[in-house]
Amino acid sequence: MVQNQDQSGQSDLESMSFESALASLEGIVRALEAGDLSLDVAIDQFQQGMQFVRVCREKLHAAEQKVELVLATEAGVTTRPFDLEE
Amino acid sequence: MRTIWTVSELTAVVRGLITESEELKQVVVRGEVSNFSRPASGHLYFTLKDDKARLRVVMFSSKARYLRFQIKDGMSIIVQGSLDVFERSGDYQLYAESIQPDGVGALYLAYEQLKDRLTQEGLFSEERKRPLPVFPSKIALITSATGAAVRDMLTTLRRRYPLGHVLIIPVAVQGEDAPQQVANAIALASKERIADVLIVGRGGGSFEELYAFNTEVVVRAAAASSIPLVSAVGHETDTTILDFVADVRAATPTAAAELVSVDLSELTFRIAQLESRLKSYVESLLHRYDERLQRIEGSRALQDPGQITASRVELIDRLEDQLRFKLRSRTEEQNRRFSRLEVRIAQHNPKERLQRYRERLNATRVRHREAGVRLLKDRQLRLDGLIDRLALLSPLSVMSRGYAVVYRPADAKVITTINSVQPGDSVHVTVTDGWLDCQVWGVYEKGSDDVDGAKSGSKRAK
Repeated sequence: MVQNQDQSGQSDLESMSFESALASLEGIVRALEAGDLSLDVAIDQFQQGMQFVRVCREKLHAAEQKVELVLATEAGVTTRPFDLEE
Repeated sequence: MRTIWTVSELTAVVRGLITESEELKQVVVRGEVSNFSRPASGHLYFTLKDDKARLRVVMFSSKARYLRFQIKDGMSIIVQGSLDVFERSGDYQLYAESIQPDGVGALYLAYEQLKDRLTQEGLFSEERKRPLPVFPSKIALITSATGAAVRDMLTTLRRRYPLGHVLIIPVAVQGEDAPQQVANAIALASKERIADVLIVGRGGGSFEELYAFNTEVVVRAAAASSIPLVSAVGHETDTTILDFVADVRAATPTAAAELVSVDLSELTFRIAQLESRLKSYVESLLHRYDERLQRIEGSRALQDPGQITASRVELIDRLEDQLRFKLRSRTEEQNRRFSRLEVRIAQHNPKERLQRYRERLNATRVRHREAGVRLLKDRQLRLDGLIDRLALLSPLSVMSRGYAVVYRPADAKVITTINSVQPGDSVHVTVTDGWLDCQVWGVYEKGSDDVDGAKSGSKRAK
């Protein structure tokens, strides 16, 4: 259902992909609405849910979209920023 | 003087030259189509021309049926067939057996053949199609790094899905080395798994310009891609073989960008929705707990605790009474059962039964004796009776009264009738105290009155 996030988990929340953050959020909401959880479990789930909401929002409005050019060299694949006006 | 031909004679000779010449028996001619016409008969009439000459061509409907493409004016084609002279108009014509597109036409043909071959291989089957990831974090674009296509895609993606990280693999999208470059780019992306989804395409162009995306090398690379692939070649109306092998076909590059991304506003709305569901749930939960809390506080038990104990005490008393009552009734009930059992046992007491048997025994013995006596007396009486009667009947007593029993010695039978003897027979006569051996002198029927019978009776001869 929800990855358990310990307090130190703050950082891995940030590094989490938008997709899994959203999935976790949905998981929490479904679990809350489905099960009649005890009060303190529900509250704990609620707090975690709100954290996911924050993370998802941040990721959504992340600053500039990253666009790179892929270059295949002998050493393998490298990328460099790509600017349309180039 | 030269002979003078008639028109038909001359035409016949020309016709002979043409139809018998090895070279002209089966010809293949290239040229451009003009004034093409297809009357109701289904036969095709057109002129094949180049910049210097023209040739009338006829293709009968029986052959035209097998054409794999539409012949249009201006199209350059290759016609294979035989030459003949049409006397009435006096010109020679090419009777076409098969026609292939030439140049662009050849491309069409190659397109058709490759498509058929790959269809047979099942490269375009539905089961191979994979769904696109809903939130691709990395999107790769295989297209020309310059030009409208990449620009449109980037602007669409930036507007809708800034979340996605875009990677561009620049390739030539037309010309000689386009096919190989596109194929290599797909293979590279697939091997290195540089993205979650691939868009391969370019802006609009002519059939030749888009042809790179119809080549087998590109199509096979796309089929082998380990990453879901969206084809975005040209405009809505352009179809390439890449469209058939791709997991999803987008009408245009921009459409492809939209297909692979989720609109930002949609996402923000969805998150807001989830947030509100989260909050409303917790609120309702808290509300429910409050209610329960109030109900408990309000309950009488808390108001007046004494009241609870009172009812408990009362309950205990009642229970105690019930207990005592039950106990008493149970013991009484046991007693009753006990005494009933006693009586029954008594009835079955062996002493009495023994007594009863003894009495019965005596009674039967007495009865038995009496019966015996009675029986004896009865038998005695009957015996005496019999004896008396026997005595009466007994021949001895009769004999004692002077009767005698006469037997025939042969068979010791008693003679009861005169017929059973003849005079002279010997007979035994038993008298009371013995028997006499006698001989029959005469046999006289009843009625002879004289006892000694000799005189008056009718004497039966011996």
